[in-house]
Amino acid sequence: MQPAPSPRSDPSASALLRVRLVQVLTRHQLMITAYARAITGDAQLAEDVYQEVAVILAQDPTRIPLPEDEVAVWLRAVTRRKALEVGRQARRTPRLAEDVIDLVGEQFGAGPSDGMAVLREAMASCLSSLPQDQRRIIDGRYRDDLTCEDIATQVGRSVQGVYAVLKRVRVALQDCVERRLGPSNGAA
Amino acid sequence: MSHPADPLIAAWLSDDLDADGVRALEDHLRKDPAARARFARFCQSETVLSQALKLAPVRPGTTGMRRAVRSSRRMRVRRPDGRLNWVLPTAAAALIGVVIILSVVGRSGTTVPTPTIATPVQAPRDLSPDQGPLELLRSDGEVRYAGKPLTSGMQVPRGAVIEVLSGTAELRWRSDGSLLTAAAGSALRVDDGATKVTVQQGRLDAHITQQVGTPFSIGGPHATATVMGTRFSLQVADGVTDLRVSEGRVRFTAVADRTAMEVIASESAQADSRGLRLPPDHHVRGFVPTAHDITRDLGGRMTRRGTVHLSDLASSGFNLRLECSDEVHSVSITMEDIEKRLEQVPAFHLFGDVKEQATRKWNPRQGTFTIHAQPYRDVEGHQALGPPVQFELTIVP
Repeated sequence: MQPAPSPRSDPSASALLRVRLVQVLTRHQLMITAYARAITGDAQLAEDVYQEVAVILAQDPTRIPLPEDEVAVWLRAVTRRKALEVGRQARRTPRLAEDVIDLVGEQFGAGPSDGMAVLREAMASCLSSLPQDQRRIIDGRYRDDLTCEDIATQVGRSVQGVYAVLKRVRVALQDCVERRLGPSNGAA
Repeated sequence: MSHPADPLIAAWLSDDLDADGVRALEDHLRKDPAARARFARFCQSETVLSQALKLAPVRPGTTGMRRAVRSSRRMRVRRPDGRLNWVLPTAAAALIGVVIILSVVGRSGTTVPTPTIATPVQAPRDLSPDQGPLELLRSDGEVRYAGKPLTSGMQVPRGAVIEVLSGTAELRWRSDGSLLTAAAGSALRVDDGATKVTVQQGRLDAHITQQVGTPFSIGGPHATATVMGTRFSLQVADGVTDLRVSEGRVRFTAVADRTAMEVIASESAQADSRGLRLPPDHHVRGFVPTAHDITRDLGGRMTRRGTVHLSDLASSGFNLRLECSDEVHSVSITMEDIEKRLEQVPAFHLFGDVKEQATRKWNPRQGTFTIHAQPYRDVEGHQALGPPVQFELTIVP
């Protein structure tokens, strides 16, 4: 590993590190959040993990490996550690075995700097093409943050029926996104 | 595009899988790289879904649900205004992130680099500080956990990080009596899961008592050492996890790519953020046990030596795939007097593969077998790429 620039020895190094820090966080935000989501099984905890990882990087940006191909590996390890820690603090048991968490971790890599925006645009486009009844359920779950029980009451379905629709819609949306962006999802 | 695991993944994201369902999903993810890739993409899509809803035009008839639920249940809204569900957290997160980054980085320009020992981590609040799987037997220096002094006889709970600031600390794993000695400058986290202890920094000497059933694992940032009863040391420094075995046999598995090697007494191995460290001219990167017809892998990639259980093979027979660099176009493979062949078509297999219509079934038997592989740049077995690589395969019941 190459030595990182020292902010003490070079006045411009601090500014360079700040730029690199923002670049790294921007480029890997989707990877960190998605991997944390896989480990914690919870969107809110995944956001917390991203904040924690950002703090770790900000406290000492010289720890970020200089070779670009090492950054994602290093960030994955940091994300894994933080996600398990945040999950423990929230008294959540990881919803996948640790060896599986490690295996799937390899699939979360760095993407282009605009990967998250590209994926979001594609997802928005796919959402627009959903039938109205499915869109209502997705809106209730993801935009209005309602429980499946509440949604079931409002749309006149059983709770299991709502879960089944959510399951089908997720798969349909994923297929739609991959048709638009290719199997890389435009991100990883 | 769809994958057989899709319904399980989608149900898992809704937290709608029972224990059997989770196990089924885990089986898919363990066995099938395509399922793992699909799972990761699902998680990425899930991450942007709520934000994308804001971009997607709202259809008539879809906006009344939140209001209706609110009017029927005034007290159950998790966030103040569902309309801003993603805007508020995102804006707040961005603001907090920028403030933290600017303030901390701003300071970092005038402060010394962070100390080499990991920052103390708060102990989980639900665990009493005097109960835990690890106990400090004795120390001739200063030992802390969760920022507090740790003295002889005190137990350390799961999730806590122990820091040895000076001297050494002798620790005992309470359930089996295994002894762990941490050197000054070490930071260890007590996991008590599949991995018992993780060495975050520094050096740990381990004397693991003979394990029954579940092996004892000690992790590092780059690799995990799994043992059944042995003496070894694990040192983490300068971006490398270094294993030295003094007694017995240790399975050393890299975090980065899950490649494993078995290390025996008087041997050592290193791993870093890329995986196991191999010589730069190492063109054979590892050996992967497979079913005889190569339809499925029977384990992860191993280097130098590995163990396969006869019970895992069942009726699937046995084959071994050599994972090589792109420069390798043929490999001469020898397994004692059992097999000798020149593989000319990737993937290279000890007993050939279906591409050549030459799959041969070998009925493995208990014992240790030495395999030599000589990689060549040329497809006809010319222009050797480095020295031959030796792999020791042990087959146990």
